[in-house]
Amino acid sequence: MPVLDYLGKELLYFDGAMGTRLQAAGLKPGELPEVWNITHGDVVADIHASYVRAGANILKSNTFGANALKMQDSGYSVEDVVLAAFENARRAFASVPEVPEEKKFTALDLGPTGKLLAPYGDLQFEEAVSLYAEIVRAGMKAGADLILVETMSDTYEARAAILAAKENSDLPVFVTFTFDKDGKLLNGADVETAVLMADGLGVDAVGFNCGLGPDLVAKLLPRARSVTDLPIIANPNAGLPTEQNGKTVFTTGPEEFAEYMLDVYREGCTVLGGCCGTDPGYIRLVAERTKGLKPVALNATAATNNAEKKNTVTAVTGYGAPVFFGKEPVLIGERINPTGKPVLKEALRNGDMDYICRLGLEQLENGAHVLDVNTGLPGLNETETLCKAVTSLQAVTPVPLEIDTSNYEAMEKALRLYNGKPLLNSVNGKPESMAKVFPLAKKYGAAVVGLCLDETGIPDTAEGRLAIADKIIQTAAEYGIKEKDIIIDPLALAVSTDNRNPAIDLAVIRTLKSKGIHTVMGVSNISFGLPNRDAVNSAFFAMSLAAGLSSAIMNPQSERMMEACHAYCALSGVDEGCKEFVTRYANAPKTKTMVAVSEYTLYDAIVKGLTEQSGGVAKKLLEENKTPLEIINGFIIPALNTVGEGFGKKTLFLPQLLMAADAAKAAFDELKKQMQNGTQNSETRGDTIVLAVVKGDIHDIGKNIVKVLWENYGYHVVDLGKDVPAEMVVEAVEKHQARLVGLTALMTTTVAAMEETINALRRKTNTKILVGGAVMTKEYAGTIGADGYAPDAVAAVDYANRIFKK
Amino acid sequence: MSNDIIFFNKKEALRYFRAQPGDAQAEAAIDVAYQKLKRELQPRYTVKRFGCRIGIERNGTSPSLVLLDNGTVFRSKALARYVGEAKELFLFGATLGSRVDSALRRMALTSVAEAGAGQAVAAALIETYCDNCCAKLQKQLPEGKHLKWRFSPGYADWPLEEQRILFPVLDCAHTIGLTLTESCMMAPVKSVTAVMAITDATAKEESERIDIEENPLEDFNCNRKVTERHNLFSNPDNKCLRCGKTDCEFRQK
Repeated sequence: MPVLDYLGKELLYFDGAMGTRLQAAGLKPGELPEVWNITHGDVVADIHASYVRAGANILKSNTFGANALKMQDSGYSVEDVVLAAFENARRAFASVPEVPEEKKFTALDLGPTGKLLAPYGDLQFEEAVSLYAEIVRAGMKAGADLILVETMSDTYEARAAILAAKENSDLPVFVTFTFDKDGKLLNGADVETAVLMADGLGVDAVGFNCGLGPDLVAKLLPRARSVTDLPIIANPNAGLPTEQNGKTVFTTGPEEFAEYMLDVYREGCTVLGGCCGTDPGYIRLVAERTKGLKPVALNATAATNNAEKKNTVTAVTGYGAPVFFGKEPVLIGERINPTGKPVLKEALRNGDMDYICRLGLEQLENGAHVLDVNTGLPGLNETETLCKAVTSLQAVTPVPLEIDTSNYEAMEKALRLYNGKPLLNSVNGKPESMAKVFPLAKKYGAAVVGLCLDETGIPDTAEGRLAIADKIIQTAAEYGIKEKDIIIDPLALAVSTDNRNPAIDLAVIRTLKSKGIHTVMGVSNISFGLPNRDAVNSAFFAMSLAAGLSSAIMNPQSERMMEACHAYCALSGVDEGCKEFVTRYANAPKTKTMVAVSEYTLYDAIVKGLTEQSGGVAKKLLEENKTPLEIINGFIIPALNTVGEGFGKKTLFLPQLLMAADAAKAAFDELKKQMQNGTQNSETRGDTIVLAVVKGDIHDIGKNIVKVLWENYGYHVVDLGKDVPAEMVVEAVEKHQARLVGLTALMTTTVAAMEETINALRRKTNTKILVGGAVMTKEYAGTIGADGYAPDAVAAVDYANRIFKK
Repeated sequence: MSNDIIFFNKKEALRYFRAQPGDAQAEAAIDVAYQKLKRELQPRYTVKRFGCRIGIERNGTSPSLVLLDNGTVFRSKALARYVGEAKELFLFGATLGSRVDSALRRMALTSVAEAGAGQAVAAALIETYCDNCCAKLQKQLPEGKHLKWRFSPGYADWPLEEQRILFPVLDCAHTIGLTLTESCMMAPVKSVTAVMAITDATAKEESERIDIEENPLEDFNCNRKVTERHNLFSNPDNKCLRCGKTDCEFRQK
């Protein structure tokens, strides 16, 4: 019988540790435990058998690290190792005939790859999926009963493993994460976040293993249960590992372990077992103590306003804390959308993801909980741009993103690369839209925004829109998407065109609220065509919130909108005792204090590294009708020269240099706004320099300093980022016809990549090449064929000025 | 092994930032950076103890091998000199976690000064964390046994590529989430791996011996390495006093 016939209906038992037992049997540090499936098959089978005799009915195959990366130098293929692992498990089961055959299961065990995924490490997401897929295919061949993704300390890696399992098998998938005692993964994700993501991806059971002992798992378990109805697994360690003299020691004995496992059971766990430090003695006691007990009924109820309904938790996540719908209003920052934003359009065309990230961070600072990401722009490859924007934003913030596109290819790619449980904008009532969007939302576990429109358009009655909402929810259910994962947008239409419009929205919101269905709305459309839009928007926002609106797509930089939201929270009791309102506004100045700009000239402000003053004075100079060029040549460059000289003579030091660079940048940003409304065209923009940290190197602080200084001197810097392959540098130089390239490398191991990049450039271009970075010396730069060497950022400016004769 | 609170050595951070004494602006930048990084710290360490001896390569004249009792071999003359007569050593790995990397990226987006200060703060934090871990390990050693300062891949002639040998033995990806990229960089970035020899000599004897013995770091161009690499000596008051690189810009006065 399949394992799912038992799961959640009776208690099941995993085995205990394999790794620590193999070490006790002679496995040396650094030796691959998976190879023992072949070289010491009897030892592995004996350990398995000892667990079966102790009462385990699910064995974890000894394939924790059986991926191609780890196996590459072992002399064995992934398939060899996996097949041998299952043979050992089969032999173990066969040696214990007293356990009924239908209750013997072997899980294909998938542990971490041992690499950190990009953007923090260098393993690309799709490579991770491929590594897992290879093991899953071998596991299918070996006859696995289920797949256990375990010891996951990174939601992104877990996502790769779960996708690989789902795409390459039809087996049940279990996943267990390794949290610290605060309930956080190594990548920062909370218990709720990890569980929500796994639940969204359609796993059959979720839980805990390794890291903690059963006492701490029992404490974290309610947090998992609060967001999922899935059966829960606990394979804890024999207590928290402690270090004694360079040896890892587990201090919880079998008796104590089994006692705590009773707590784990009472908190709702239905699959029990052990991890590091446990042995058959532990598992035997756990099985004995819980014999005959029935699984506790599960019902997720966290942060919801209708606790009587089963599994009603609506939440989205990045890889930090989740954002729940239904309590305080969820604010979705709308500004990463190029419609009507020339600077953002230009940034998207240039691939300037730093700008996108800054837009995101600004909105978060102003109070957004989720960031909408829309990169649709005619003539641009939306799939590529959206994926780049999503991964760049996820490199700097763990908050949830709303993937906003009507391009299905871009939608799928972005959903796939996303780390967490995303919000997807959007589906509508048209059959084509639902047929395309729902399979993607289901596969990647997204919550979806459903727009109240269909092939007949947008109904002009509340009943008409509610009928579409119903149709969307019903159809989603056919795809296995739960009602809680659909968030309905009633669609705000301009009050100026029909004054019934606001009432329709409010009626839709009220009705859906009464049914426990969450809503989202782009509030500001209501004021289209009116003056003083902020006043209309904020009033409508407050009215909608009072009617029960769960979330708004809005501009968090609009103080009026934020005030409306905070005031609503205070008035509705969401902000208990008005605490947050008071904290936010009690001591806030009525108007922003103006920085006293008159005290400093722009030259002084830059030399002294006063960022705010520098921007202010630059603005003032522009108001006095100075041209940007006059300001650059008259103030910014002389100030930077002074700082640069001081740095050279060691009268000024790194902090001053960096602060001056920031201050000059602030002034420059003001000038940019003036020049063509923030866009630069080829006539106003300076000479182009391509800048990159070479392939393999991920340290970019030096590159960033050089970039800011070059930009401050008016150069147009094409920043390719870090870990840049040679061909990409060549391509950029050709595309921009750059006469100068700056390359940096920090470590000795990447100097070879520097040389390769130089050779590639020499073959195809005649650009000048300037190198720098911690490992570089003047002599070495000459050896590898560079034209120049810059020991620091000031020297890089001098070199560029010489090349471009400034 | 996790979630420790790290004392913030502001003086060290200012030194890594290359700030001059009394630079109030630099100090303010360091304070801001610390506040931003503090909430992102997830420090962890792992350590394994091995028996060891040094050896001479075939055709070699002086010791250039360090052999561990699990069969692991490291190749470096300076490391062999460092291990000397020690019969045991620790392999050690520590990290501040990947959330610090993410926070440093955020800082770099808004201000280079803040990014520079952030790097300096993170460097000071990982150093202090390692020092704390070592102090803890020293306490566990029996009377008469002493832990030497940390010697890391990349020091002197010990190639960075030997991280590829050290990492699987230490199993630090599994235990503390510390991984190695193809080009031997550590991810998360603010991390340290090292060898620490366990000797019979006292710390004082050890430091005196370093004074007289050939400086094992003679060809280690200290000021060209990342900041974490500078403090090679575990004297908490002034780690630089016995370093031969007297013109180092990070040198403590």
